[in-house]
Amino acid sequence: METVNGSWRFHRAFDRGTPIEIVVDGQQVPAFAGETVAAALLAAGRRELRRTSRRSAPRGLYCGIGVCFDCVMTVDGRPNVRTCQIEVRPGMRVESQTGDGRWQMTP
Amino acid sequence: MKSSDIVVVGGGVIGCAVAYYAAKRGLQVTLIDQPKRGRATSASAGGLWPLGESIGLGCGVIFYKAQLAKGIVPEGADGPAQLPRSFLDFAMQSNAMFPTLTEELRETGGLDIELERTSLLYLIYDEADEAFARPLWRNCPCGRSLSEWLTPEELARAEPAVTRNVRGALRFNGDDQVNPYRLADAYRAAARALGAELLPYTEVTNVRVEKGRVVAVETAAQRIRCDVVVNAAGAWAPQIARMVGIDLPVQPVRGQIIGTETLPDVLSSCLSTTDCYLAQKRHGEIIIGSTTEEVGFDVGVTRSGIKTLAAGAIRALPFLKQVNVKRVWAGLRPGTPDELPVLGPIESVTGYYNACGHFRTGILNSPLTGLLLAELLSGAPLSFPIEPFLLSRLAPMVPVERLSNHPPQPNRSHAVANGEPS
Amino acid sequence: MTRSPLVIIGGGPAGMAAAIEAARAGLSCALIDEAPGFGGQIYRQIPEAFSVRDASALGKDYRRGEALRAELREHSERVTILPHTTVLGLSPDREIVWAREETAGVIRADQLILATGAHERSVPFPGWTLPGVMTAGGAQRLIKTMQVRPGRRAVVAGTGPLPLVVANQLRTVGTEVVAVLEAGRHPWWPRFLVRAWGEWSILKDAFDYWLGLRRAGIPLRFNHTVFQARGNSSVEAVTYGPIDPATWSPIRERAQQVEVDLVVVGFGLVPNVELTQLAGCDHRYVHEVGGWVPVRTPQMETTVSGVFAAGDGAGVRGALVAIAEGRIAGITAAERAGLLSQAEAHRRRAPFIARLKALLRVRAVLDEMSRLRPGLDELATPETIICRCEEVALAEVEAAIEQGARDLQAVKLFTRLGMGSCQGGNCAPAIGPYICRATGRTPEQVGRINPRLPVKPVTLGALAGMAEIGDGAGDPRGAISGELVP
Repeated sequence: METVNGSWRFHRAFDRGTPIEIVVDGQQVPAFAGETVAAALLAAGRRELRRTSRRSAPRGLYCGIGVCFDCVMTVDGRPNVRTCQIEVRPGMRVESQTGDGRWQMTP
Repeated sequence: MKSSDIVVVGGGVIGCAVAYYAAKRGLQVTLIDQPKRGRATSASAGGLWPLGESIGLGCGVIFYKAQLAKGIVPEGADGPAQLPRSFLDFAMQSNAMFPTLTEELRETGGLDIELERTSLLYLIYDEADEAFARPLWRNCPCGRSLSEWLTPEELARAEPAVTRNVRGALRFNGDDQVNPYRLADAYRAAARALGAELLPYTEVTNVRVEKGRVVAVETAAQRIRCDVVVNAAGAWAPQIARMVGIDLPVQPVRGQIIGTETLPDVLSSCLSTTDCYLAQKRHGEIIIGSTTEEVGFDVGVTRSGIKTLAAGAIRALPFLKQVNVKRVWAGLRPGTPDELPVLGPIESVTGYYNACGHFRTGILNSPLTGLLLAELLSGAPLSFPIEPFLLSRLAPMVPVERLSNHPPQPNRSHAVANGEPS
Repeated sequence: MTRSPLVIIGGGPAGMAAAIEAARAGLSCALIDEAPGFGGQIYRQIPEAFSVRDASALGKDYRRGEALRAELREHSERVTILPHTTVLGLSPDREIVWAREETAGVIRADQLILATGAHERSVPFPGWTLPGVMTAGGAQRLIKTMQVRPGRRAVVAGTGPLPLVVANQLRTVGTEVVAVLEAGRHPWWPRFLVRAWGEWSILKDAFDYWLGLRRAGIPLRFNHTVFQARGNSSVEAVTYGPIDPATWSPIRERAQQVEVDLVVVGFGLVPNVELTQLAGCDHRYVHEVGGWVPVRTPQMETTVSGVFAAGDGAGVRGALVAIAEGRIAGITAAERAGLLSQAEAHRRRAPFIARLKALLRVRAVLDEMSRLRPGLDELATPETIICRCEEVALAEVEAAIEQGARDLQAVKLFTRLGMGSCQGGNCAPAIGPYICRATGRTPEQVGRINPRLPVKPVTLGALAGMAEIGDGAGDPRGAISGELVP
């Protein structure tokens, strides 16, 4: 098994898809086609994905299979997207959200 | 054997309100509650819309449009049925109690009912809506002071998320909202703090009457001696009434309701349209209601119901298209033939009191209902005349005169467009 | 296609096995799953954009999944696969509401097999909402399908086989595992060995996991569990210690703290019964297999005629049991459709019924060891969050009970617990038993949070545009190819 030194990604049974970049809170973050947003963020060393509305408490990836809604972030302007369920796309804009996030609401 | 001055049957918002106001007057109260699926308190949007409800907004106008779509038009009607002046006055007086009540309940029971000053906006989409709204504005039963006509520009400034495909809106100031479950919880907590006893998860099996007087209420486990029983059992009130030998013309009327995911502040007002109403609650979800269906005690939700409400909500607030539904549920409004509550004593049984039949306005009318019942039970002068709401008004089933001279709606079945049995 | 002779919901081991047997007998069916590929949580495929370099490194479960997928592919002319498709609800007359992205519609099924799987049971403890606390299944998915290490230094806690499996996986990908904490007792006792005799694969698996940890010098502590996770914005340390062997009550005076950045928790699974509930099936509470489960015949039929349930969604017993149950359900559905004689169906079911019997013998012992004990309730303090979505703390639940709430619905209305995005999926299975113990009532009395259409998130736009049967639109096949990926 190979692991890239200092990296959260390891290489073993399969090759990842094409390298791409997503934009997380304004910063370019490398990712690979096929990865979930949550996996790409974890591989970038990021644990805290959002803050809650009532207590402003940090939350991250918990159930990892789409049940718990703790890993939600704002993806391309749409808040509350489960990052464990959605795959990265080139240029995807991902933002951490506090509470209910910000929506584009005016018609 | 246990005894109590008063036994209140039903732990929804009305039963809790009666228990609270009775306990506040020092009466000894036992509140018996058997939670039922579909109780209306937990399916309410919590709108306090005395004006809107009286003139047929909220569910009324949705129901009217759905009837029209099916070719059913009440004769001579050019809009949803309006309720009589007595209802409006009752509702206005009840609504006016909320600010003080909020403080009282917070102090006594420690819970906040989340009263919010929102006002109610009726969105005017087309000519028909305008034809309906104009006379309402001109002849608003409470005078012009409480209503306000908004141009499309004024509406866009007031509610930026509302569709621009609109001719304007009619605003009713004073039509606000609370958290309906919180209200029931707060009444109950305050009633208990004042000494009321709660028997939760207890089914009433019999009301014992001897020589024309109520003497006891029986449950599976015990008999509670009492002089007075208050029937606040909502859609299930006829079952309690039958125990004292009376027929109560209360029918379950199902309302389906959608709750969205929690959103940041979008709406400062509650909205009423011919498709649905929308109210954003303090926790951020938008409640979208509601269908009006006579399907017995079925508390299921239907595809057609959800679809109609979803489409109506998106028409009013286009950004909702991308918003997730969190939950859809249904409640059973306790409907009466003339849409007015049934309150107070009956002739045949001493000690039996009705506090039921609140249809779509149980939350709004709970304070005055509670207060009136407490006054009746303690022999105090009444804060509002009870006569229009006595069961006897319905006894020979004569059509009740309405403010607008519309006959009662002839057919209440299958209300939503494409209404289907579940 | 708005009507199908058989719809199978859930493309995990049970659903795939059911589709294979139904198709083998000549019954056409549609197989629906939310994920882009088939295999469920345990046999999950790697993303389409990834390419396999060394299949042997993908592990045993992946190979078992590949074998099932290959078998399914042999019957592809009779199996319409509908990946990426969410089932929002269904009715007792077997009308299924589905959604895919922004479209939704309805299929009517003559027969229905529900193979909805299970999700992880939450056991609230102080700090469990911190980033870095992850379920065993979630950690496993990162490792197996993403090749991402969930942490650098970990403690793994829980009960049953899954934490052991994940601890080994963490070890092989270079995460330092400080300790594995099994709440239950040591499994190497005579009753287990006697029961497991003949099920070599299970014995061998268990032994391999144990040996793997042993060789790596990772301590496996029985009757121990996690007490608290600590940290500011993510986990920095964990406190753990022994629990009473009989009650599982924490023995706090013997707690110890270690620095870690990952706490993996796996306290067993909870069957996903929303759809069997909506279908109108009778359920009963069976603590050992995860709680509420549909009542079934030995042929896997529920109390609603023509509705079958198989796999973990009908009681958590693992993938091997799920496959056997799925096959039995698929054969029975074909028999009902008149494609197999009674005798032939009986003959085909026989080996799987025998297999089930053998597996369940072992399983019963595992279930007994891993049966959650009430002492775990004591991990949470009044400040501990119980409902992650609505941030409801244990003290608020206690206040609701003090105010007269005696069932889940009342606690929900009082506290907003279960009103969040997850619809109570996480908190209800944890707090239901708590309410039982606090009020002395039975699971039946405490009840459940009633599922309603839609049971999964869907936009108002999709619902508003929902195509009805006979609309001429709303074919769920849409733009999906009939090929299993990859």
